[in-house]
Amino acid sequence: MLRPIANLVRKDIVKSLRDNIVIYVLLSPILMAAGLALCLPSVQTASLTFALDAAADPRVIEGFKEYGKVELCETRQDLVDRVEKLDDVAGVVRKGDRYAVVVEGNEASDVGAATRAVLDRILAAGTLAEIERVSLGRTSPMLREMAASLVVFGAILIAGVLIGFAIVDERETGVIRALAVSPATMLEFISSQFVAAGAVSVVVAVASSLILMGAGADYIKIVAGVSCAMVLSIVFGFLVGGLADDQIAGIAVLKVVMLPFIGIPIASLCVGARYQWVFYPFPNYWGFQIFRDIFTGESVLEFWGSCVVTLLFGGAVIAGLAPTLRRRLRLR
Amino acid sequence: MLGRYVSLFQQDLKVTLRNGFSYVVLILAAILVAVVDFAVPSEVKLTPTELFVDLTEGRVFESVLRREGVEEARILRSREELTREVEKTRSGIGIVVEGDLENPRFTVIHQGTEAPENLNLLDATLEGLVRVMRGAESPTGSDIEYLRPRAGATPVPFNKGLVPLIVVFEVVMFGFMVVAVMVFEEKQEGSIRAIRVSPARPLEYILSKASVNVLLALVYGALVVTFTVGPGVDYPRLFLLIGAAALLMTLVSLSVAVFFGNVSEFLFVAIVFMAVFSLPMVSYLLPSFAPAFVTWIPSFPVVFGVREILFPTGKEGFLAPMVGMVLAETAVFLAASHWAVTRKLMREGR
Repeated sequence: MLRPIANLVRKDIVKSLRDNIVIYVLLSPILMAAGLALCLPSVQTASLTFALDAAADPRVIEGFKEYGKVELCETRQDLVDRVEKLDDVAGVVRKGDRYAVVVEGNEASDVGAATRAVLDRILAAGTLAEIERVSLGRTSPMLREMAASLVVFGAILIAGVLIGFAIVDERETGVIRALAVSPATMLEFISSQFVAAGAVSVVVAVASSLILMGAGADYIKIVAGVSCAMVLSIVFGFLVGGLADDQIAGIAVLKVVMLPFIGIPIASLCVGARYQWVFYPFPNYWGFQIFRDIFTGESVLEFWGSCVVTLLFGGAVIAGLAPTLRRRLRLR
Repeated sequence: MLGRYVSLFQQDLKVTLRNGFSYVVLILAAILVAVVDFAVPSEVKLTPTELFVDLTEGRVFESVLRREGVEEARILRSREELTREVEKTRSGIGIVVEGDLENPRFTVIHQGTEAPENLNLLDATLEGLVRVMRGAESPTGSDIEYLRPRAGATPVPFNKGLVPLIVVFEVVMFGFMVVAVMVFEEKQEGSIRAIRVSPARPLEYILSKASVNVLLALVYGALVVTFTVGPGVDYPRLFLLIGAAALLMTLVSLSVAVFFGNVSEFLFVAIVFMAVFSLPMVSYLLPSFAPAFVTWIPSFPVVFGVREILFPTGKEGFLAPMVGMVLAETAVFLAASHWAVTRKLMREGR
């Protein structure tokens, strides 16, 4: 059984190299991870921007620098123009010995109130409350860990796209007809897809994790997690490859299938622990839990529990899809 | 020229409908409408969640927090419970208040990764809360001036606020893949060879494809907006902005796609392009994140423009310069796509 699988894997590799697909597949997520690594620090430390009247007391100008970025405006019109730009910026304008906070009205609800609170604090004679800070001493921001979970989960999606379009290509070029009359079986076909796409997603996942998390991540768990979640790539690939007759239809199917595949993990990040059960019926939710556990330490089940559920759930879906796919691909 | 354009347009429209993209639009619109209307809650807090414990005599702060709309789940009973929750959520901030209203003592338990400016801002907000509770006047007598009369209107629910994101990053970008698919199909079926020897010129070829994609985007956008925000939207202005942005996206895609051999190759490059065009999504959800490089991305002004059209705050005169800028970018990519189509697509194989 191993030799036919190896032959099928070799065929896929030759085909991918000829079309430069492997280069694009490897480069695109790594580029995205690098882009994220560049942007994340500024997202994590994003603070308010204040447009200040240049005529304001220097104490006020210096004081505001403790609370965010400061942009000075020479005239009231300059200040109004700055406030009216698309980002949420509150202005502070001097009116004799008093100040007014200027906002557009469509900002996040508390920008005006927060700016007034800052102004009051800077100009007040003393403090109104004793405030002590206790740091939990974390060094890696949660946002980076969440981004790493999503990017590595994206590697699973990319492997799925690779499998789906490989099947479509084989149908279009007639390779699948040749396979149908060869001794290759459905199981060997699935196994070859698993090996070829699995290798790509492991490389993509490890490279993306290195870029985003450095050497500190648990790479053994990442490789093990990707290997388990690959079952989802096969589900995804079989849906695209099974439903689409050509690459054009493949894109149409991809658009529809991708939305719940990536949307459910993202939605699960925004929903509190009390309502996570809503996502339990979706195998991709469990696949995402594997990477949440690795990077954030948060998951409904522990790492191995999520791996087992993903494998069982994904395996059941593949078993359900296999007869249809066998019929459409005419494999034994 | 018009006759050739119309004939190419009819042909492209038929091919697009034959490929099932009309069904894809309907299915995606139905899914997105269902998600916005029924799945996404109307209130979601994206910034760090503050959790509170009021240990003051008579718990004077708790009632004020409730009145300010802080949900019950964010008001905890003990310092230990609060510390545990802050550690567990890993993005939350815990606030313990002790003493009394005259001498309050706050302890802010934070993760350690927050910007110092944001922690200072929290301190100022807490002092502001104390000031309000004491009924004290602002020491500076500062007022808040709203630039537009409609300011302070009912805030847009979180789920409806996602509609501009869907319109720009899904509806407008839909054409990015569709136009590439049309080109690859013509290459694959050999119909591009027929076009090469026909009287059709590259400009007509480009405009016909762009028109089909603009039409798809308008139908897709109208479906999503009507069934989420409602029918009372300023559709002419919305269609103007969606149409201009969809035209731009189509031309960007066409300028790039002609250099690739098949959909599979282009797909992964398209993902990178779409990821870059989607970056302004972060600025939309987190308005304090607006570095210069993000504001240069064409989708940045468009998403805020769509928001203003769907949920007007009274801002006037923004649409003409915005559409003008998008059209100027479109002109650049029209030239680029014309060059690419002429050099690559129309000469390939000669």
